[in-house]
Amino acid sequence: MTYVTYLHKPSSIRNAVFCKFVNASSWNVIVAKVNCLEVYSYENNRLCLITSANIFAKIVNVKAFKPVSSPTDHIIVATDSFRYFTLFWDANDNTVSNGIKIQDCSERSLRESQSGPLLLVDPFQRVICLHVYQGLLTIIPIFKSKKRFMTSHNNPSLHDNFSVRIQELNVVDIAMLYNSSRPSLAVLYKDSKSIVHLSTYKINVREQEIDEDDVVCHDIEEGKLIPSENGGVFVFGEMYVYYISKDIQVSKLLLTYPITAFSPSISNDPETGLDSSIYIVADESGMLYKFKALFTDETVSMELEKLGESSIASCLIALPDNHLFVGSHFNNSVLLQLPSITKNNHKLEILQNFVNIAPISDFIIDDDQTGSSIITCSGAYKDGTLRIIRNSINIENVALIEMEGIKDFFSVSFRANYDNYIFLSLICETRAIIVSPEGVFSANHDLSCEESTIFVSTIYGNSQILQITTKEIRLFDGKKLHSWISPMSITCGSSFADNVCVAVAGGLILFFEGITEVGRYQCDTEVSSLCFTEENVVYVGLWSADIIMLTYCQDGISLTHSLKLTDIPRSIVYSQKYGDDGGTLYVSTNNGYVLMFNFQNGQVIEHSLRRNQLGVAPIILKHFDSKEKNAIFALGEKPQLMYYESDKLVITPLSCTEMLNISSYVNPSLGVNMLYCTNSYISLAKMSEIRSLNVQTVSVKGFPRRICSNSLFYFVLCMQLEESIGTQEQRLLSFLRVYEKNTLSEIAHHKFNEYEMVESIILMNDDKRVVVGTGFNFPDQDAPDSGRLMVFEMTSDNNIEMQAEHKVQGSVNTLVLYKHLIVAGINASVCIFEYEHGTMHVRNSIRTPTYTIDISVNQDEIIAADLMKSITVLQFIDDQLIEVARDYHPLWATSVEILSERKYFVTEADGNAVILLRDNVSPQLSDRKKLRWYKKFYLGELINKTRHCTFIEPQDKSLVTPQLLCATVDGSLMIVGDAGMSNTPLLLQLQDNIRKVIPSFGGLSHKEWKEYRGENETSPSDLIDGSLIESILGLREPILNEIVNGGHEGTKLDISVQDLKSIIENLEKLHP
Amino acid sequence: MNSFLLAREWGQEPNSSFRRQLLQHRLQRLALNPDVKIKRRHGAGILGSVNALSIDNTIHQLMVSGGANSSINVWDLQNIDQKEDEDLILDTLNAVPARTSHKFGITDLHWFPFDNGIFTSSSFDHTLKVWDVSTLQEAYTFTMEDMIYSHAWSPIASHCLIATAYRSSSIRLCDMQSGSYTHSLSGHTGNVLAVDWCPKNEFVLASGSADGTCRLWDIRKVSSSFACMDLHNKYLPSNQTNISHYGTVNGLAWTSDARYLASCGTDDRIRVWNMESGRNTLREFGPIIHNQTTSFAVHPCMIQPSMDSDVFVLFPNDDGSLALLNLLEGSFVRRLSTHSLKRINCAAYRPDFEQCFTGDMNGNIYMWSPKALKSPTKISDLETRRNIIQEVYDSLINIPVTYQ
Repeated sequence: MTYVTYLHKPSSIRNAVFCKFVNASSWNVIVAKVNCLEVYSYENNRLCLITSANIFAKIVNVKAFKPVSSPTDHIIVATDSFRYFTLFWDANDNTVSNGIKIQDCSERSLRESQSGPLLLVDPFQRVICLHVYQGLLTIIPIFKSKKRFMTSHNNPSLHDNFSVRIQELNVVDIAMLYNSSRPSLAVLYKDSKSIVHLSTYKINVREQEIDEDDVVCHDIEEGKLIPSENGGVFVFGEMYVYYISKDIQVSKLLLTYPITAFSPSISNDPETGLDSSIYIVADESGMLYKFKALFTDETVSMELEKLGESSIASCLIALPDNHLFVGSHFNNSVLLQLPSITKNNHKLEILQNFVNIAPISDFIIDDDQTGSSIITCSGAYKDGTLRIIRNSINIENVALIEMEGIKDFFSVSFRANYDNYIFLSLICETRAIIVSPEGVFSANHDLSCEESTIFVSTIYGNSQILQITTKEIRLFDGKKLHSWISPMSITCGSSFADNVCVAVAGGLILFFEGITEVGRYQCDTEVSSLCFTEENVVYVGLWSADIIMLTYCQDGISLTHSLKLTDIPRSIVYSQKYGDDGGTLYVSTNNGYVLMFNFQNGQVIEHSLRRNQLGVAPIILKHFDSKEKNAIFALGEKPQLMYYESDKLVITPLSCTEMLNISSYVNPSLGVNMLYCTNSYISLAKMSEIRSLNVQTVSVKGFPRRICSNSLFYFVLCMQLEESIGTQEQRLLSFLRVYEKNTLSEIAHHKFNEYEMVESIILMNDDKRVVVGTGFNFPDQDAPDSGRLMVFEMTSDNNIEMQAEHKVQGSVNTLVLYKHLIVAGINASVCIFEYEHGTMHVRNSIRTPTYTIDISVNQDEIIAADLMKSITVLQFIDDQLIEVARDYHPLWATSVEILSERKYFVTEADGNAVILLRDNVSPQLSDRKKLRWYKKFYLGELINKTRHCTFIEPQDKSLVTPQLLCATVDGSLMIVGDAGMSNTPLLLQLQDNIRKVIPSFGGLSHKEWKEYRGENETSPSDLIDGSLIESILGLREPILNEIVNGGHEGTKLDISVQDLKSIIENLEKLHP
Repeated sequence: MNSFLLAREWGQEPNSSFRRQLLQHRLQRLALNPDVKIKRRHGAGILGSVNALSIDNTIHQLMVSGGANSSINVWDLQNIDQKEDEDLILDTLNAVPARTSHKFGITDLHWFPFDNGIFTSSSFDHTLKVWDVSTLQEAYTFTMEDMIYSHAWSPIASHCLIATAYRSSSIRLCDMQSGSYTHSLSGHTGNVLAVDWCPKNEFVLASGSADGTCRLWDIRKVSSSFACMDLHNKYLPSNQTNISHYGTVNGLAWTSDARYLASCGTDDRIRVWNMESGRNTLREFGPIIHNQTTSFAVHPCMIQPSMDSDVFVLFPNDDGSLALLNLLEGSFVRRLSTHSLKRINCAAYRPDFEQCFTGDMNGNIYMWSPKALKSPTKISDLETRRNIIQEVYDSLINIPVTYQ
């Protein structure tokens, strides 16, 4: 049975409300993400997540309203399939509870409104208005009287709805006006000749009628309506802002871009400290404006002041203290500090970032030494980014100190139970800092000096600080400084217990006890690094690509061992295994490798060498001291942490990327355990013990559409919108951009022709060349009738070069590699090309039903997904491309992937997914030619790309085998797995029991939510929803007991509560 | 197309609007499919005409056709899907040869709405026959007093009544369950040519007659029709003396939401009636309608490519062409022509496959489908093209040039 769970939950925000949801004294922001409501509290200039609620429906809109009887605001949630329900905060239970359960206002015979569902609340809290069908308004009166509230328990906040007809069929937008006498509406609509008008209505709640009002305006522009407190309405059109009211007919103000979102003004509450005459509005380009309207007796003057650029907003919420929450579909949602004249800041400042990776156009999985990462093509318009998602160790900055030019730093605990001395080593200077237990920093001038520091530790049983600089060895006992001045410059140094060892220029190694020299050893070449470990053993790395092991004892110094390497060692760290007499020597080389030798009793264990390439530049290795892990920092182009987890070496990336140096630093009172520096600052930070999903953002010029990678580069197909000043027209330009994997910087690009849209890219077998498919989209054409296939290769001087070009008759929508051939989906055909001697040849082609969208291949099958006609199975035999089987259902496929032998996973544009089966052994030809629907279910989001991969390696005892990863428009990554025959019955029953025992929000049925939704019918779903099962883990024991025992007419399960918990923990391991 | 796909990829446009627009667009690109040829199976000469077509309502895979020579053919349309590329000649799956069952020409064919095992045929020989598809044996015969023009099944009804329009001014209801006639609906003053059931109310029937009226009936009431459409919108529909067409009303079709009824008449007009008010919506499609048939009903073929899209009508014309009309906009979209001037008798739409089938007086059944965007590149094409260029080039360089 198919098991689906989220690797990354949907992150796109389309709606948000600001209300007093939890209690009457503080403010909340509630955001809606596809099928999840998140309640945030707004305090201390931050939004903190209080709770989240999974709704078993797609949320299309959410609004707050206040029934007279309730001290707090309720929210009304409108969902797809034309239903609504209300929620409120139950103060006794401290949870979100159901108000009015689901109300269905669907009517199949009516046609859906073109503007999408609109949900509006009367500013005077009398009615709520819902517009989903053309020509029909659903009015929901809000309860007014307190008396009736006491008697009717099950319907406390809203009356039953009623529907009224309006004449306007093609509604653009509706607004509820500030009219204290009767609830009124302004309707912006288009007539049959596409001319835009505004009309107004008054609602008569008692008679359940609607009356036309006298304010009308003709021939204006399509746009958004914002009601004004003065009773009129602003129309934000494509060119102008209009103000329309009874007294003032039309007033205009020129705009630059159409306004897409606005913050509702909250005038009824003076406590918010918001000026009700000011609106914050955002346009399509992500620019934020302050909109101010000044009313005089007869005119209104409007003013639009530019504030700055942000993510493209889908909703805005003005918060007190000049803060603004920007909810976005295309980029991260942010909490902003708006510029204010009084506080004298003129820039928008981001206070808080809410990661959003929607919409994901394409993604790849990149496996390297450090595990897998997912690279997504996210965002649109100007907000395009590449997101690198890793299962990494999170680093949280606790304090930042701005400082430049730091090369290295050391921390030492001197007569304290935390690291109280920090040495900052600059190019020709060392600054010592003392950290007080309270976390106050002060400079120590005794230890600061004019040279840079190489090594710091304490000796003589923590009674003195040992500091090795480039010139001297210094001992500090808290008051006085003793030093030994070296005749030549010191290149490296290290110490163990009371023994000190330094290497000076010329390859001489000196041994000290304290600062008394006790021995010396002359090497053949200069020393590159050394590491003094227990039992008086020093590992020395030499520029001659050798590592020697020197043992120091009373008799003198002897060379006990030597290792010949192929590359020059640059950094050496010895790590002892706990409770073992062996250890591991980590050596980084000048070309980015880290070598590991295992030692046992002072001898290298044979064949224990492991080589890992972690970068291209030399890597800095450092110890990380932690109670649980004996870990090593490896800092190359990106910081990583190496440690052993049950005898398996794990290399995980760290979430912070621009590190220059790193060190462990223990200070429990500050809650930090490490220190790192970048170009501009030092950070005291906390590294978490467990790995979690971290998203790194790489900004891209324009927006990325497709991606592929080889071992060194990411090849990204990007497009960008460019506005030509002369004609005021927007053009789409296409580029192939090459990013270096390690530095993530763009190193080369190729620009495509005008009107050429890049559609697909693949890497060829040789790991060097990439094939790019494009299509020409001329403005006067319905569908592209020409395109190009191009072969690119990176040259040795890091340029991208076109090697071959082949013109085709259509847009190359998809490309895959099939053996050594290239399979291309070009308009309504699938073509097979061969690249030979620098040219492309057509090998064969076949027609597909309408428009090829995606192709997936395995050993002998080519599966082509069609825009509207499901999938076709093709085979390429004896140079002939033949159709083997087809599905005849109308299915608007968006992606296809082969699930297993003869099973195909197809995703559909309305959020459904289907598994199709090919019966290739049936005796009847017609059965062999026809694909059978095997499983069908609803996933809820449009999936843009499906790929075979496992991001996290499943464990041996895993109940579910992950198979596919799907990326959606709403920014989620879904894992599709198989629960296996033996686990399926239990998981299905568990799912069924959970559905019965756990009450859902709004009384929605989870079973219905996951049902396959065809155009005319729905059918039961064959799916185990992982997120539903995982959601019960935090619940109280009695509820878990009820689930196990099959409460509410469920089936009793053969497991204990403890078993249930371990099952869920097992399932949770599929994703971080 | 690709910018639409881009907007969908971003989650900016819902697929529903993309689907609506694309399906409508494809419908407007309907053209004769040159790759699919359907064998002539209804005899030759004047009696070789195809009078009726019907595609089953469940899986849209079987089509029946009826000829003027009284033969009936059953076609398996899946054969078309499976070999769409190569030049396909579709042959009949099963056939009732001429004059083995019906004696005279077939006038109308309909599938049983709920499964594809039964269909009914009506004929000039005064009979309405019920057929079992798997054996192609007639299961039952209703005999009328005169020739039957058309008949209709209710698409939703729990009753199994077939409304039949035969050469009489009343409509007879045949009950499939009992095999007898339940009752007749009388009120028309001329022959009734067309009947169609309301798709939302199982008791409401619409009819069109040679008296120029279009009436609505509640079959539970024995009294006269409850509505008679007035083309001038002058009188209430309850007025029985209204006129709907200046001539015979020979075809009717409801929209699937039962909000509109389209009727066509020998005045070369198609009228669209609002079924909430019973008034004429005054849609005007221009002078392209040619409709003078009075020998059997002409069914306007109602097409709604998806639930939320516009409603189109494919109207078989007298001049051998099809008129594609946008019903609610009241606009003429395209004229589809077979280039033979013989009348097209019937048209059937195959939902989910975007295919149309027409039968004409010549006895041909044609398949219409949206024009493909571009045919794929074939190596042979490339090679022949290359050779032609080579030949032209060769011929040019071998011409002896003479100067005078």
